[in-house]
Amino acid sequence: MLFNSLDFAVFFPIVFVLFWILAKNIKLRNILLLTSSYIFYGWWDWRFLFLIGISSLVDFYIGQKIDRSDNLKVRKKYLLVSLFINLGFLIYFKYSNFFIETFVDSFRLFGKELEVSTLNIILPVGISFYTFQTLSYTIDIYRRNLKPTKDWLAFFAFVSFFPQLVAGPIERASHLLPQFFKKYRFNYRLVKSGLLLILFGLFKKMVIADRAAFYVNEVYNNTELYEGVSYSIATILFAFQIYCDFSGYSDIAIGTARTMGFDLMKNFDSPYFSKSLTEFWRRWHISLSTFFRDYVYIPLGGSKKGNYRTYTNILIVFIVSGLWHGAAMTFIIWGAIHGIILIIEKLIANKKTKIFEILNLSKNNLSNHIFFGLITFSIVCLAWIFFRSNSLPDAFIILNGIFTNFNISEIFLKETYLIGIKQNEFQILLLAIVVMCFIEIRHKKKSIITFLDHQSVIFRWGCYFISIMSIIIFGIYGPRNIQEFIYFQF
Amino acid sequence: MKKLLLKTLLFSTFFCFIIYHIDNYFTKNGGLATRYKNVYKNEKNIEILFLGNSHGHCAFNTDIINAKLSSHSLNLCDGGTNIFQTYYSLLEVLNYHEPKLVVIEVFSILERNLEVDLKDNMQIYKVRNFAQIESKRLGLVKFKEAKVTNSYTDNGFLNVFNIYKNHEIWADLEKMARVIDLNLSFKEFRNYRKSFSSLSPERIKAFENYERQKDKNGEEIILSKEEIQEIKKIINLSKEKKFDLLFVVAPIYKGYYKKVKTQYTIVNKELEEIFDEYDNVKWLDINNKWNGANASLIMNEKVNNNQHLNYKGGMKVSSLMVDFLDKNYSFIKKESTKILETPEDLVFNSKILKSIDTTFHTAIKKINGKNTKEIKLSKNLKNLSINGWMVKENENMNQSEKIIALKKDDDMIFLSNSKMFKNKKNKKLERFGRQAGNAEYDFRFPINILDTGKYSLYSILKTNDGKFFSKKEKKVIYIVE
Repeated sequence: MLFNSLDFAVFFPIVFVLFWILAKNIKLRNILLLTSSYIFYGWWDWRFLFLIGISSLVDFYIGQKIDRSDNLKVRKKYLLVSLFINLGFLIYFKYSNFFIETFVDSFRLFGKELEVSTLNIILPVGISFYTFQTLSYTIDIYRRNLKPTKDWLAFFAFVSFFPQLVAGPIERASHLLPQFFKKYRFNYRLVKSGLLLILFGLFKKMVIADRAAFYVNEVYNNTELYEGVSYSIATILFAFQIYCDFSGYSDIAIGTARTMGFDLMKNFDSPYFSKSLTEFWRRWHISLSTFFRDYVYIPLGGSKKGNYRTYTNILIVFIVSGLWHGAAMTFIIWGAIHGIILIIEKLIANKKTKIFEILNLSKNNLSNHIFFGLITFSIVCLAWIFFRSNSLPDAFIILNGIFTNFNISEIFLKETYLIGIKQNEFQILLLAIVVMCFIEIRHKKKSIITFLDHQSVIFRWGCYFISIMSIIIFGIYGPRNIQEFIYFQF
Repeated sequence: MKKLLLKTLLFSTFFCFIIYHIDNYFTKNGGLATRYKNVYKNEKNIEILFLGNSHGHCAFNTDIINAKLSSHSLNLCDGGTNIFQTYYSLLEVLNYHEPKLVVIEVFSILERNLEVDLKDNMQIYKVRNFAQIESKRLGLVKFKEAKVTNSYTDNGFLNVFNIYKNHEIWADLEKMARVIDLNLSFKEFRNYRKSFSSLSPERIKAFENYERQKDKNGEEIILSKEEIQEIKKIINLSKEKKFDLLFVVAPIYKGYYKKVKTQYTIVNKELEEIFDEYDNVKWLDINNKWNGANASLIMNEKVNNNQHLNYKGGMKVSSLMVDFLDKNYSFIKKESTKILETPEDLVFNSKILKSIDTTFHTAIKKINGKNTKEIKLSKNLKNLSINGWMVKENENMNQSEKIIALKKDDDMIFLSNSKMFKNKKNKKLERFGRQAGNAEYDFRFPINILDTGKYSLYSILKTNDGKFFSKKEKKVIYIVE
């Protein structure tokens, strides 16, 4: 079920009302959450419910086994079983064809053609997300950071919790699982803030992301038809598309959970205002970056085994992160670019500080913010080219176009902005991006909810009304236009 | 929780109220929406209601009918409307008015859309004209219509709301502005179609070789049980709400009619048999009466089974309707006494047409380049062109509408439209007022729609405040073969 669909608009209020009716009875409430989560997922394809079921069952059982045993070898064995099953599913469904294709391509490099056909596999929606979530549970128990639950119902509900099931945030059991045992009291303010967050998420997704997609898809799917300026605009728009798409999803997920009293972790923190890539990764897809930090980077040794090992670990983490995003070389290169730039940033960090001291520059002045912000944004955009391109050759065509065929006069041509989109549609897109940035900046200084709470009812209702109407009128939807969230494919 | 529910309820009420009032701005067919607005405005009771598809839209010129009769009529016919939608359009009007007579044109029954079945797999009636449902106000009738037709089955319940279904219309700012303008200003609207073209000799010839295709199911022209059921529903409604029904067949091109006459006769006979059972239902087959319409009464459209009457054809049918209604319905009086609202009110009532206003000045300088009192023009010419001027003292001529009427007899008066005029500045005319400069015009009218004979010319001016001024010109035109 999509958040931006009529099905969800009917489904959610029903679950919301039932939840608060059953709020005091934890068992019934968890039955409701489990059932509704399975309906939510099964709406897409009920056959894959068994995957979530198996994953939940395995980790529930293994979690208890690990906890009960004091023998490290036994504990490790159980952990490996969990890793094998969970990652096995992930690798089979997500990476089988990638490995087959890579295998065939490698032989082709040596002039040998292998006749191996790829498998006809459907990628189960959200598998990368819930697999990581259940893995974190067993790993935390293995590390003795968490006590396993004995309530299978709560655990199954935790794994399949519908607001964040298919595209995160990837929650840690230590944070989310205890919330399934908490007693909730209806909190009007919390519900209101959840609803507003849903509204903002829908605005980002339907007004910005799906509108930007028209331009981006046209250019990226027909690279041979366009040149440098169009590639650049498409890439910048893609930066906003993917941000609004994914952070929009996270907002809706967090908002939906919040209306029922659940607290999900923040997933985005205005990442395009970052002054470095290191900062960018502290603000972009926070739940994934912290997952990789805790479960890949630190086990590899983190930064405690010398500089070279640190750099290697960073590179490994980002290549794995790229691979997590998609089974293609383009994603691996995207991850590698980020890894390399982060290493460079680490290498020059001390020199940068010294230069600042010599020139007596403040790190927090506006020009510094703008200068380094623009550099960071440019690097991020450059990497997005690989992320969005349909193939590696396409990515190089775009890069080549931007760096060798950038006709600056085209910037002033109206036609440059009207690719796959009408003039007033483009204007609305720009305006919506400005509005979104304004809201995010404003919200960082002072919570929008608090701000609205201090306004008159007419102003508040006017804001709600305008927000809803702007989604209804300017949103991209309808039978021909409904767009899935980008991160569903990961 | 109570607080949330209460606030949600209040906000939803406010939200629904706004949506209800702005929903009709999100329609793709401003024309029909404006006609429906006339229904909702409810200033005058609609006494005669015309329903049907594009054939009714072209055949019933309500401006002529209203001008000649002391009754108020409205034409809600629109392209592609079928009998199932007709029932809901009728229901909608009955919510606001008490019509005495409902006239239904039955072409949609005789010539069903060849490409689609009557019902789809879900047993839902297929419709092609979404303007009918989009133009209706949000309400029970609209929801019922959406439920039984395929209007929104593909897209879900939310598509009943125009603002949801047509939200993308905002991107077409010109269309949106036009619809908003129509809704806000409620300008005078024309509720019939007025085409000045007539069937070309090439198309007349093409009709000789044209063969009607069978529909998708291999069926000929038949009356289905669903249609009979729907007609009976309408008849039952007429008895319940106490109004008369008149089913009409508007003429189609005779070159086509002769090929399908046998099939039409069978269906028409079946229909007649149904209608005969009811006292309040009448049947008028103008098409059969005329044995089809001449080429000069038919628009110049593609050669197929779907031919429409042009302006002249509509004028003739409307005159015939006026006589028929006058003879058969006691509530109708032929003498009109009402005030002027349309140019037709003026020209089809010769007493008013003769009225003289000394502050209205006109001159026809040249007709087809000649300045003579009488001029003979061949029907083979493309256009009748007139150079002249008309001015009302101290009136802003930029905001006034110029009209030229060509009158052959009391039933045949052609009125121009604004596109036929090209206004010109004439500083000399500013002696009649500072804003009289745009009073001069070049006027073009297609000759081929005119029958041969003598035509008197009338200059008519409609000012911004809705007042009419007319003057019979001294010059006359003879259209000859």
